[in-house]
Amino acid sequence: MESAEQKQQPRYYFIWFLLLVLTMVEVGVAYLSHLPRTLLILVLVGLAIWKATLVAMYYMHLKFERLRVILLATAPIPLAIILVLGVLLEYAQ
Amino acid sequence: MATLESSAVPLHAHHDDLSFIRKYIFATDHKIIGLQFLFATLIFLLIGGVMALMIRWQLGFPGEAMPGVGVINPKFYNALVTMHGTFMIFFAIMPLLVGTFGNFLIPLKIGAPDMAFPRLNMMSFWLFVVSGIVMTASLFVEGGAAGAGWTVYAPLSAVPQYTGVSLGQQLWIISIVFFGGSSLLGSVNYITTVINMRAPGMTLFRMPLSIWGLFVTAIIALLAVPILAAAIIMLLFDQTIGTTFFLPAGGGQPLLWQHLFWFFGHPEVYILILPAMGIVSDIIANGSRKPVFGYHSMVLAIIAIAFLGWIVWGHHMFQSGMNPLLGTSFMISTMAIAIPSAIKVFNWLGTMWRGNLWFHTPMLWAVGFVSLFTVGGLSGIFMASNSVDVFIHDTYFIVAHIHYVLFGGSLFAIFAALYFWFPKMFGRCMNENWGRIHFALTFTFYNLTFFPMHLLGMGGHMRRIYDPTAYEFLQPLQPMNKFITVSAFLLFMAQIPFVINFFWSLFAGEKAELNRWRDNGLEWTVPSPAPHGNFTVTPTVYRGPYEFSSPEVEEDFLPQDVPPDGGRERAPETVGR
Repeated sequence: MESAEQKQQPRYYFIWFLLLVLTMVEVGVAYLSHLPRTLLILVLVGLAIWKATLVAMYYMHLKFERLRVILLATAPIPLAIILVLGVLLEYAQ
Repeated sequence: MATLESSAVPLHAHHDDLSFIRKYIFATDHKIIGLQFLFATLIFLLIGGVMALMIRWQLGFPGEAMPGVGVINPKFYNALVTMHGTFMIFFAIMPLLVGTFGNFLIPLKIGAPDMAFPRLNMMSFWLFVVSGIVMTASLFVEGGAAGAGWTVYAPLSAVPQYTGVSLGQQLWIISIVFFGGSSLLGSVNYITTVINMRAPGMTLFRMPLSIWGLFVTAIIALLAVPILAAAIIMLLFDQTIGTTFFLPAGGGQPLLWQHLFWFFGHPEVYILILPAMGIVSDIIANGSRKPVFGYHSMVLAIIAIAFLGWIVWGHHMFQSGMNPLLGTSFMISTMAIAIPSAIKVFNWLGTMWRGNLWFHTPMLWAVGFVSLFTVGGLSGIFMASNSVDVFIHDTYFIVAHIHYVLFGGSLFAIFAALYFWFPKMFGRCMNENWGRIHFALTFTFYNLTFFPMHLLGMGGHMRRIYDPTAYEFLQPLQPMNKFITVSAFLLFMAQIPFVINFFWSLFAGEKAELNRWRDNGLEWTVPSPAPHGNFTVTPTVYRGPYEFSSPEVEEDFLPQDVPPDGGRERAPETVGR
């Protein structure tokens, strides 16, 4: 079990580099691109979710955890969805 | 599911060798940390109480010089209102319930030697101290303390020119960031301890309701506090580096602040009441000498309240021009909370019904909690209706409601808990007669202070105004304002018997026996005060915590660790059920 975990050591520096690149892309998209505002927001939110997923998978080690721990860590996501839906509904009148 | 094995390891073998600083200052023992929280928060409670008196003086006698303080100017008044709420919620009630009693009770009541992460626990306390020092320091900086209310609504809080406060507001935010860190560390610790460190036989449904309350509270705090942390860091950026998250001038949304704040803020309300409900359940069962009526429904009600707390935050924002569809959903979900709350109230009454009532001081406070929490809960239903809320939003009706829930509710439960567990904390008992006098005076002046606020609110008295006499329609209410102010000062003085009793009992109180209240909890099986490591031998649990008046035994209580049939039966081997 332990040896299997050791084999799956995440490549921390590579992930860090990927996060850095994604952040640079975010800044670039925000300042340099001329995308329509709605599309720009969608792209930025998509990139943010990508980064959050990378952090959760590798720095929080969820990729190497048991299903039970993964479920525990992701349990608050429905709450985040409720919050976002509530805020969006606010502006949907 | 993990469990502690029975062992005879002397867990406190090396503790006596520790220096004073390691033992009492940078302590890792959960009980000492609980007491550190207790003494620190009592200081903040006093600061918050003095601020309340200053607020009341200004409202009762606007513009007149308060003895020892002088005339309270409008800017200082705003700071007082903000800091009173901040100190009472973040630095008094929450750390008293969660920091003090969470730390002190969880390991003792589940049969564990300490918290799962003692050093993390120490860090949690010292982050709280840093947070408290920063918040207190903000009272003395240039420009004064934060003045945008404890809810720090943007854009009022986001632009220094609006309140005239810059550094004070920034220190408020920094302090709450530290506070959030402290709260998160505590939550992780409590959850891990409850899941992993219960004694053999201590199944989840054998846990006392106080531990259920604290456990579910820790889960709520773990999920809610990061939202506040994220929101206030965004607010700090708006204040300092020119972002405009909440500023319309730059395309930001002031209502986004309200959504984020109350998405944290409403679960926070349950952080402040669920441990109190659990503690009161324990004490009412003890004072009634009966098992808690409907134990399982009590647990499910705690869980239901915790869940519903996440889908009601919009009821704080009914007047924000909210989409009516959304407003109606929030109204229904809020009213639904009355169901589990009522289950709890009726179960407390059912527990007392035909019980062999023993009105010791903690029981008096617990019964006081039930009556006052019920008043606060009922006034909450008024506000939950968005059509009624049009009239009472941001009035003194709300102030009456929050104080019935947080003072009559949470603080009464804290007093109940202090009187109840004082013998186990310090090895001495508090004086019962003075405790009763303290209760009678507090209960009387509490109601004289806060009940008339309902009437003020229905008369249209706004919540955070500096001078009520400036409004013609409020002038007929001014005698009531004066009455409330006098009652508030008497309520403050009613705490003097408690302070004297507390410190006198610390040094000269009657020595506490092992089981002062003839209770069933595991904490009453260890000496008073409990030693480091708590249990010489890990206890085995055979039954639930409320076996009072059991026909199986001659005495009217049956502790959780007493084996049935003289110890012939074995305890369950796992605790994961």
